[in-house]
This record gives sequence, C-alpha cells and structure tokens, in this order.
Amino acid sequence: MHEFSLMESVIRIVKEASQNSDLVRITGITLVVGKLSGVNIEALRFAFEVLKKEEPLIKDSVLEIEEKEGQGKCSICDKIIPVWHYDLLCPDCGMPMQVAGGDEFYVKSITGERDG
Amino acid sequence: MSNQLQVKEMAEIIVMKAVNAENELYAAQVREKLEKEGVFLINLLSSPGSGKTSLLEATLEEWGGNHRCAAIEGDLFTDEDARRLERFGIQVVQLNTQGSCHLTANMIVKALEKLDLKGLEYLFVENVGNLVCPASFNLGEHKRVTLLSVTEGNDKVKKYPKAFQTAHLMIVSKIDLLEATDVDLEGLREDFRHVNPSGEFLTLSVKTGSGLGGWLEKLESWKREIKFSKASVQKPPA
Repeated sequence: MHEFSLMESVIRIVKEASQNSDLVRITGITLVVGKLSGVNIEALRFAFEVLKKEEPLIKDSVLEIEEKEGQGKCSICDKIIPVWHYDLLCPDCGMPMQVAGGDEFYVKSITGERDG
Repeated sequence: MSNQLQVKEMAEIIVMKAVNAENELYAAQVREKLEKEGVFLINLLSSPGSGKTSLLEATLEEWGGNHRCAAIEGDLFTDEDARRLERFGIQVVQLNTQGSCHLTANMIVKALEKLDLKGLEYLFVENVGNLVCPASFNLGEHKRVTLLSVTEGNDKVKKYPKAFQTAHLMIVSKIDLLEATDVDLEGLREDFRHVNPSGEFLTLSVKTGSGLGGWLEKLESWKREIKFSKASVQKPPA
C-alpha cells in the first residue's frame, strides 16, 4: 500500500506543471497506469479523493485513469503477446518472456483554467 | 463553481512525466556520489524474518575486516538491527520509516551524509521487510538481491513476482531447514527463471555455512566487474 505516497508524487508533478503553464485551477488530471506497474487503481483513486481536499489547486478536479495492457516479448522468437502477470512463457517456444510494455505509470496531462 | 463575468480560458497541458521521476532523480544522486568514491551498493529485499540481517552478520564475520563495509538498516521502528551489525565495528545508519513500508532514494541520500565514504568498498542497504513495495523503488543500487527463506513456502515467487523480477540475484535462505518443509528447490528455481530469465540463483544457510562461500564470491566478482564511471550506470529496474 504505497499508493498514498505515489499520489503525493502525482500531486507534486501536477503542481509543478500548473505553475509552469500558469494554470490556477485544475479541473482534470489524466494518468496512464500499466497493468504490470504494480499500482492498485482503486487504492490510487482513494488516495486522490483524500489528498485533493487538502490542495486548493485540485480540490475540484476529476481523476482520469487510462489503463495499459501488459505486453510480453519472447526472448527467442520476438513474438509479442498480451500478458497480465510476470510469470511469462512464450506459447510457441515455451521460453521466458521479457516485459515489453504495461509497466508504465505517468502523468499524461492536466486540464485547467489559465490565469488572467 | 461561481459564474464570473469573465470566462476563464481553459487549457490542456501535456505533462508526460513518470510518477517515479522524483525517486529516480534521487537514485541517480546516490549512484553518482557512490561511484565517485568507488563504493558498491547492494539493496537487500525480503519478507520480515527471511534472514537479511543474519546474512549480513555472516558476511561480516566471514570477511573479518578484509573488506571495508557499511550498512543502512531500514525498519519501521527500533535500532535493533543496527546494534547487531555495529558489533562488527562497521558504520551503520538506522532508518526508521515510522510505518512506511519501503525505503525511497531520498532516504538513502540523507543516510549517505552520515557515512564516511572514503575507502569504503561495500554498502549494504537492508530494505524494510516486505516483498511488495520495496520492489518499486530504485535506491540507486548496483545490484538488487531478494531473499526467500524455505519456511515461506513454494508459491512466493509467483505471488510476489516484482521483488524477484527486478532482482539480479535470488537467494533461498535457511536451507538447513529444508527437510522440515515441503519446499521444492528446483521448482523455486524454475519459477524464478520464468519471471527473471537473466537473474542468478543461490541457496544458502548461515547456520551451517552451506552456500555462504558462493555468496561471498558473488559479491567480490560483482564489485570487480563494476567499472566506476558514469558510463556504467545501468538502467534502474522499472
């Protein structure tokens, strides 16, 4: 359960980005969360609802989360297949696969009102 | 929302910033500082009670002052682990996370300020006992080692894959107790290979000393392989 500290980092990124672009009130935050990132979306949403009350800049904002499917790539035949956990074997070769996507977790964009 | 006379201009800003970017920045600071002094950093992960501190005690005992070591001990509370290691005359920094379930790289940056790095060879970080959260935080380590004791059972690699997937080495500890359990070592090795094809695998017991030599050789050969220059900085685990 480190989603609270992750959400604190998200809020720091949002604050910095809004300062750099003169947004004074944030209405929307979009995150991208890969299914292999180890981040629990439900816990993340809960942390957001708790933490946003303490931050005037984002207190009226809505959290959007785009989930990305996990992808594995075979170390032998380069085949790419959708995966949902780390215990990966290539269906053709039976060899272990490397994670090729779906482990990302980043702030994609923010929407808000500009100063002025 | 109040209706004001002037309609505010709405804007969408593309951010595209990784949430762990802040931690990665601190991790890079740790790495830079240690590489300047030629210090090799090992991040030890496991559940509580798998034998991380015992492994460090055995390592220090065996080396008997042949290598200059220091340790950073992560625990929620108490300095008991630090006191266990101070007996060997090494520098130890105890970090108490006060309830937080993992160490972050900025904690290591602060701990380094308390250590004299001159002439140091090995710095061991003992993470908070937890197979989940520590796996997601790069501390700037050169190598990550995840322990699993035989008493924890057969299924943990599959249940907590990230701690093993991001490790350079998996150690199965307490193998002196193997007979008392139904653990299948070959099965564990196979589960580990599935989540981490390039990871290395060792079994040992600090009680009997079995396998300890392999661990010490591993530490020494790792350190020899590392060229302490910025060019050698490897990609941190995802």
